[in-house]
Amino acid sequence: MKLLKAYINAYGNIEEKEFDFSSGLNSICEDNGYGKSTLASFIRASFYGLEKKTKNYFERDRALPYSKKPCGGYLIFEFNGKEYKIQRSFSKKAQEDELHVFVNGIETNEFGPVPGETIFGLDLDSFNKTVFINPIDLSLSTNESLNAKMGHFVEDSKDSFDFEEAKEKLDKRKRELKPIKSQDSKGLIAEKKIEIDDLDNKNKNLKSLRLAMGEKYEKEEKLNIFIQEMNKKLTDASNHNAELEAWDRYDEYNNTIQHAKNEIDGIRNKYPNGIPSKEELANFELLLNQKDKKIFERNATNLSKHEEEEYSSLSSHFEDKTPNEEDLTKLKETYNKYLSLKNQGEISLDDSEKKLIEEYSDKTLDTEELKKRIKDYQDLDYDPDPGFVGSDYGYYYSSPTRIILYSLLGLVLGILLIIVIVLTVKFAIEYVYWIVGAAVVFACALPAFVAWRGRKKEKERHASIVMEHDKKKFATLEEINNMLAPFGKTLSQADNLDLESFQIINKYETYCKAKDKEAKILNDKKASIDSLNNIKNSLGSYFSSFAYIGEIEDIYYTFFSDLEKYSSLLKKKLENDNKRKSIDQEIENIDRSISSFRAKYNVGIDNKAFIQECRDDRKTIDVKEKDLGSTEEKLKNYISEKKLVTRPASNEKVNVLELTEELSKLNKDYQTAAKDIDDSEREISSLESEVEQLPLLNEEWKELKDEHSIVSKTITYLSEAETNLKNRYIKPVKDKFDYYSSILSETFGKKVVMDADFNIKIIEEGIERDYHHLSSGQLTLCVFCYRLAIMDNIFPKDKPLLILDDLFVNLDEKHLSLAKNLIDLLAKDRQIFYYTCHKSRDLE
Amino acid sequence: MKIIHAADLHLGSKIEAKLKRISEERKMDVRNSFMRLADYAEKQDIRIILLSGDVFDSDRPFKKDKDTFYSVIKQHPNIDFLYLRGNHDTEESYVEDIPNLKTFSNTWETYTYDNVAISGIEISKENYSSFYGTLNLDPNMINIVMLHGQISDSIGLDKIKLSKLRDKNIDYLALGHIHSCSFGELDNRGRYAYSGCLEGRGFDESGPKGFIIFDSENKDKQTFVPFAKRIIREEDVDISSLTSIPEIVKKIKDTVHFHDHHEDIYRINLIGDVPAETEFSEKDIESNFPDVYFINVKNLTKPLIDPEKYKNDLSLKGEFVRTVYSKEDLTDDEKRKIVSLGLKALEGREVK
Repeated sequence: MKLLKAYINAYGNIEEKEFDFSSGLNSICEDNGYGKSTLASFIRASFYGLEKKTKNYFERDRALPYSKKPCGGYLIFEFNGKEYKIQRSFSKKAQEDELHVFVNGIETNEFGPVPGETIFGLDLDSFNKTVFINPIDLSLSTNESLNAKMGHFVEDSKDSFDFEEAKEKLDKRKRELKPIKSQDSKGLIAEKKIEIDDLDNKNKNLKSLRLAMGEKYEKEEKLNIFIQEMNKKLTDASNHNAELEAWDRYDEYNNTIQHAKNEIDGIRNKYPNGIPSKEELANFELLLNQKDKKIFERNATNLSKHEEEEYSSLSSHFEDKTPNEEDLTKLKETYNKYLSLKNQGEISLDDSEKKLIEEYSDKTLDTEELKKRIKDYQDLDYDPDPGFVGSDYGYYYSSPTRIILYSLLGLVLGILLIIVIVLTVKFAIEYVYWIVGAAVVFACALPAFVAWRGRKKEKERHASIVMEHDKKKFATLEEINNMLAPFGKTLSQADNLDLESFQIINKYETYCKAKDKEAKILNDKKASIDSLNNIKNSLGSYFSSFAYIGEIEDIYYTFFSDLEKYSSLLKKKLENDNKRKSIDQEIENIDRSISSFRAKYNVGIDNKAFIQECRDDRKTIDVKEKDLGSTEEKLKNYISEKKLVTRPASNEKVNVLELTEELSKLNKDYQTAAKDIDDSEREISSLESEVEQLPLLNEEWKELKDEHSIVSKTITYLSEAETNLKNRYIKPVKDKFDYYSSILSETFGKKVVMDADFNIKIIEEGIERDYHHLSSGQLTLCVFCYRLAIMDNIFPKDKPLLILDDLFVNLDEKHLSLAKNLIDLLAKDRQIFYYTCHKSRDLE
Repeated sequence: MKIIHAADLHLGSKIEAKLKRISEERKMDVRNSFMRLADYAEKQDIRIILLSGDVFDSDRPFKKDKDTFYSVIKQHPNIDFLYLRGNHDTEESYVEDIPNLKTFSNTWETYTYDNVAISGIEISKENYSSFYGTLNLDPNMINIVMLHGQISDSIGLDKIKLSKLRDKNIDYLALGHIHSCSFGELDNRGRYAYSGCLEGRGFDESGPKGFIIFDSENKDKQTFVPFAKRIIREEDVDISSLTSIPEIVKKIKDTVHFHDHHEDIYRINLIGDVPAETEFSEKDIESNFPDVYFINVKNLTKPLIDPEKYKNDLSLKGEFVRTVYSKEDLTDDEKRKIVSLGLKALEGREVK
């Protein structure tokens, strides 16, 4: 493998720069910032891509240039006789990076995504630890384990961790799982086993408990069976007792029925001809009631004692002689007449009449004459000249109506005159208006003139007539006043003559009537006293013929009252006699029916008592028969309900109490057994819950054992790998190391060798010494020799290129010279890229 | 007529050790499942419940389990419980006579309901080869046959050879023994089915559990009714290339739809090849699902080891990997584990 050319478009601080590489040593000595490390990084990145980000280093950040130019470039190299070109571009994100590999100008994929792994047979990590060498990788402080550093490539990037630590961790875990020697801790596997054994024991105990449960269950079942049997016995006994009780009840029913029948028969036996029916009894009772009613009615036909006494008393007045209707009518008329006469004598004048007679006894008045004078006077009370308004002249001015009338008349006449003139002088038109106007004026003025002329004469005539009339009227009034003078009355023209005269005349006429009345009273009184005495004597004589004596007025009413009573009592007495005869007949008929019933049913003395007894007996029988029917129905139902067919063989009742006590005892035993089972089951349940974990624990135990096995095997194979690694490289690496170290023996000033464990030893005066006596520069060269030894073993034929990034920074001039010799030697069969920033370390 | 076919109640059964935290509660769920089943039948007006074996987990069940079972039967007098014993409860017996509890023996017993005849036999040493020949069914009836055992091509104890039950006029073969529901054709006339158990008791009984409803009006169609209070669900989650716990938790949440079934029981198997640097514990993952009733995470991942990557590694790591992978006596799994552990040790990481 040989690098031919590199072109960097932009990578870190290098831009658009081309590098041609030759065989052997390619040394670049430039100042810091030139880009030596960058070029080394580009070469590595071309083969492997940019390194992933680590805690302290991010190659991508360094690779991406500050400029906007695309980051990347290409690398041309020879490999297996062909020329390849790796072209790469890098972006901020790894997935956007691009890789193209060309062989002879044609793109190929023969190296895969990481060409370095195919070309060098190393992964990036191994490449870094072999081909790519920088002083940081090789620097070693004396305090660090050289051995660890020497075995750098067998370790991870964590320099502080090695196989020993890994093994220790695994050993520790192995001991946790299963201690090698007896310690305080038994180990997780043993502890788990103890736990399992404990549960196994519990499981055995559980099985025993389970086994013991069989007996308990059997006991409980037996008790349960006993209880059921006892329950059955108890039920049977209860049923038996109940059946006996049922038959007892059946007997009670029968006894009740028989007793009722006997009672009914006893009652029926009292009636040989049977118990009268309800209807018969009702009929018999009706007959008795009817008889009682008739007897009562018969008794009611007698007059009462008072009536009898009254009838007896009245008979003394009317028994022999009873006045007929005609006599009585006549008597009433006579008596009325008597009363009339007696009352007539009491007529007299009243006080006003008496006073009037006393006032007017010495005065006289011709009332007819007075009336005549008053009429005369009133006849004069008229208008003596009615023509004064509307006289024979026919004209007057006092009335506007008349004036208008006359005016209209004049107007009509005027118009007629005009018409005549018009007709007469029809051609004298122009004078017509003058003529018509004159005629109208004339017609209107004429009546006015006539009225004015008649007025004066009329007034004079009227005054004369009125005077004459007034004289006549005064004279008449004078005559009237003369007639009224005895009564102290004088009338004037102003008085109301009618009213005043009527009062005087009326009063005087009343006086005259009173005077006539007084005379008539005196005559009538004398005549009636005579007549009254005659009638009184006649009435007294009549009443005495019936033995009534006394004042007529008293006797009269007593007579009629007694006569009426006597007639009534007499009538009643006769009617009762007839009625009694009829009732007696009815009573006789009723008695016959009663006798027939009594004979049929042999009724004793007391009919009512017989009826009541019959009814009571009938009622008793009805009730008892109903009860009997009900009882018989109950019995029937009871037989059906209790299914009473045959009586139990035994009439002895079973003692249920004893059985109940036995059952109670069994129940108690059962409860105890059940509780025991419950407790045991709870204990078993609890144990089961624990034992249920056995499979899980066994699984965990197995897992722990598996883990132990895996840890053990891991330790074994890790140790084996380490041994293999060492064994594979130890001899050749040791030989190569010795070879390279011998080249540098002057540098070291002593012999430096490597033992079987890759430990560097110094041989000084035949004695092995610790490498700590070497300087840091010497140690760097030791490690470099070790790397070369390894590389020689990895690549025995085709040596890969070697990139040395200012490797000898810690060497002084003397040692650098020896190193240069070594590089020259190495450059013979490999391409070496050596970069330094200082001339003193330039190997050219 | 509708009939419930259930089996394998396993009252009093153990619960898988991994479910220790909820063990007692799950035992109660198993015990209550039968009560819930009877209540369901009552509400749905179903008069017959077939129990095709293994009602109890052992021949000597706990008294409280027996009490529960028989009291439920007594509390539902309108439902006939046809109880056929299985291989777990062979010796189970009950002294009390319960009218609506119908049992079977090692000879064929038949219970008839209208036009439905339900026959059953408990397979034993005495009859396991002969019971096929003694089965005679009326072709005019709808015939249901109850058996408990494993379908097999051979004849044996607790085995059922379907071919020997063909053309026997069976309309429905109600089987018990297998804890997951499954159906199949028996012959031209009939079908067979395992109802499965009512509640899962461990991660080996994952998936929906319940019973089957057989309708004599539509005998060719049986309906599985999921009935478990909690379904045990097992899901694989591939966490290949994930390196942190949050990533793994997110992947689990994205893969498993907890939001629909928070109350269920989960086994999450983490699978895939994870980078050697990925470190987590199962408990760390589980603690990220506080809302899920129960979750168990099992790490079945394999360390991501690429031996090719170390082919050109001259370091001890490369040598170690090559050494381990060169061992022919190691299994691949062992090689991966050893390399993973060794690399962890070399990288200074914890090796527990």
